[in-house]
Amino acid sequence: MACMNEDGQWIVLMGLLVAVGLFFLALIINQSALVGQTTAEGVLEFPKNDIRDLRLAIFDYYDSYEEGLTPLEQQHYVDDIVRISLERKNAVVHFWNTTPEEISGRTLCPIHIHYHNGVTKYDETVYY
Amino acid sequence: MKINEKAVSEAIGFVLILGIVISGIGLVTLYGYPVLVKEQSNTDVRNMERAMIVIQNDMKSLCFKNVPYKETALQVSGGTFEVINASDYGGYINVTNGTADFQQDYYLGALTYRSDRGTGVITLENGAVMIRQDWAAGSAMLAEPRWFYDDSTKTFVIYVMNITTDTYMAKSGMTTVRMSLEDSSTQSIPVWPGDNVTVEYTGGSSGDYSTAWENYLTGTSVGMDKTAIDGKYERTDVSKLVIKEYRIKIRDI
Repeated sequence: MACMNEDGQWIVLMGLLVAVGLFFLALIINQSALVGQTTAEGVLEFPKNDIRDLRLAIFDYYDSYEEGLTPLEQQHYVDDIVRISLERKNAVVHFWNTTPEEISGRTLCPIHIHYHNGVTKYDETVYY
Repeated sequence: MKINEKAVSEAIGFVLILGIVISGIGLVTLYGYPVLVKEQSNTDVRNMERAMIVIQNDMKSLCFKNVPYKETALQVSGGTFEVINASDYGGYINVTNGTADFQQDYYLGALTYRSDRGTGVITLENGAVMIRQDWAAGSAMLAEPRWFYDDSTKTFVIYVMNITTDTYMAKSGMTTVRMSLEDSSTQSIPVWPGDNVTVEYTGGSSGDYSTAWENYLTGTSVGMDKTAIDGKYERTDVSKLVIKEYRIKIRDI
């Protein structure tokens, strides 16, 4: 027994180290699925395109002022935007304009946009 | 390595080592095994919590993202997973706008997991994932539905997710939950100044989750107040109540 060659013991030792390493890797991989899901959900939940579409619809509405809509038609237009946002996008939308202001030589109208879908709340004042 | 090995007996050494190994196995069987079984059932419940949240996300896709059909594969272990039709479930939410003009019961239906070895019961009801322990009062909400109050327009939005099936279904092992959106409707109800929107929750056959609902409804996102009547909540300062009702059909599990 005393004369055995013990040169290969490091192989066994490395085996143990690799086993311990694999254990910790498994722990990390276990966490990664959950982290990936949370991040992906966060990105998917954010209604970027919904907000952009809404802004476009609101700008179209203010463009249509020049076509000479009657006050009743204007009211219907606003009601439609609000109703479609609620029906299709599940978002409570409210927008209004205040008196036009002179900004760098141009007359611009401040439009206030409010958007809330239970997860994301968005408020904007845009000079259009 | 010149050690005197006169008093070393291989037979005694073998018996000693064998004795240690056998008593080790004995200790693990006696004390370790029950702990392992308990841990296993805890893991099963925890996996099912995650699976339920995945199903809840699928339901959100059906309701909020105009997706017509969804299916998810999941592993149900250490318990049974069942679908309860809204008409058999018995659980409902009653919503009023504070007057007698609008009072309506919304029946819910549920997806429920019951653990065999443990006491955990997980339920997906009205878009919320909740857990409770059998034979014990109290419950907790693991994932919330998306009710909200918008303070700048004083709008209160309530989502109702109704679950329907053609037959009773229960399963354990590998399952695929197939579901589709049957129809949806939006109601806009005016709330007159001075009136409060009231919501009343009544539990169904998968158990009483009133504590979970109370904590959710009185929390920050919804901000309702408890009333004198048990299980009834009211929201002040609302001018418009919106109720969106979705009917989700579970085709197969």
